[in-house]
Amino acid sequence: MSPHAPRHGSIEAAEIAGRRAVMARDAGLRRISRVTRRVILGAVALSGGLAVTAANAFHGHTIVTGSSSTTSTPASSPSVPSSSSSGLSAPAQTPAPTPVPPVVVSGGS
Amino acid sequence: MTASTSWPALGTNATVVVADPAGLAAACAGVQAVIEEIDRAASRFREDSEISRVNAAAGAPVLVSEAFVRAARCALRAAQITGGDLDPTVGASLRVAGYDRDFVLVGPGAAVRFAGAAGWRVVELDDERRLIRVPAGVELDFGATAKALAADMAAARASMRIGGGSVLVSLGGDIATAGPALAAGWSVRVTDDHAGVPDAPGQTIALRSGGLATSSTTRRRWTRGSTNVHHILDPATGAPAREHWRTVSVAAACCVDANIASTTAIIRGAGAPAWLEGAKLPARLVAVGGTVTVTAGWPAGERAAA
Repeated sequence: MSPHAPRHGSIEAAEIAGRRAVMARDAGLRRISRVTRRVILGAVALSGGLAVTAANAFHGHTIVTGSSSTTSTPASSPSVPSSSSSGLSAPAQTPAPTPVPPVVVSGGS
Repeated sequence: MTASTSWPALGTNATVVVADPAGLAAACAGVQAVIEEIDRAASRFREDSEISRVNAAAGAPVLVSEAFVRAARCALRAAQITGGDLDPTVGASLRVAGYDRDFVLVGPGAAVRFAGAAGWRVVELDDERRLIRVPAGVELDFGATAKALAADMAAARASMRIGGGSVLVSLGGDIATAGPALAAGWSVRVTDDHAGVPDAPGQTIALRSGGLATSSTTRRRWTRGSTNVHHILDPATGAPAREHWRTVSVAAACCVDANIASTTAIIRGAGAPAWLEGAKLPARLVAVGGTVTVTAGWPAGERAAA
């Protein structure tokens, strides 16, 4: 027996142990991956099931009234530079004082 | 160099101003066409109008024109935005209050018991099929928005007819502009009465884009019994809105939005300036006593109106 034999044997044993550890790790990762896939699939299926249940429980309906419409369009807005939470649009520029004689009068009618 | 002309329309006056005098006739033709469309659709005092047909339908659905759908949708949007302070179902309230014919024919009458509006949510409007239904007994009135809508539509059409030129349209003081902005803006006098003279007490401002509207309780007043009635009703009660402001002028991106804001401000009274500030709408509010309040960058002028 070579003086190196025992050493060689211990290296082989170490390599085998290392390969087993790698295989064990890979097997663990595969298990985790399988579990993760199953959890995701389960969650998707559960969401779909809940959606179907909700759709059956609460039937949608269309109400065409003053407050909503199938083709609700806002009134004519030649320019809509900014819109506030009021739903009304402010002018692009605020009025300014002018010395020019008026071309028209705005007042009550 | 601008050119302008005026003529009677919609129970008031229409004025068209163009930057290029060569386009005046074409612009006026476009404006008149829109006025006729809106009048046929929304005049409560024409028996042959669509709104009269809808009000007389006793709850049956009515097929209407695109112009009517647009006017109705505009009125409903105003109601939604203002939480019902402007309400197109106020027609019966106006009739009960005595405003049941062209205003020139409204005279004094006996005392009345005001009646609140049915509420805009009862209106069923199908834009695609152009069908509208209001319950029996409910009467529509688009007075709070139709004239401003007509001004916006008329300005856009007039500008289109003159190749995209600059136009200003005023319908009884509801002003819309279209086309490129003039460098100096359109010079406009804001005052209590649109039929006032150009130097009537008020303020002259340059309007550079969008629209401007003025609502006032100083016009269209009549009496019922001992009560002095004006035409801006609070839909909740059907009675004239309490007079905190006599005149409110608002500038906005379009005349419809300006008009919604100015009339709502009259109805909301003391709370109006904060609401207008929040909406970033430049406005000039004249209290009954003449004190002037401005909001959102409206230029400061005189502090008290005559």
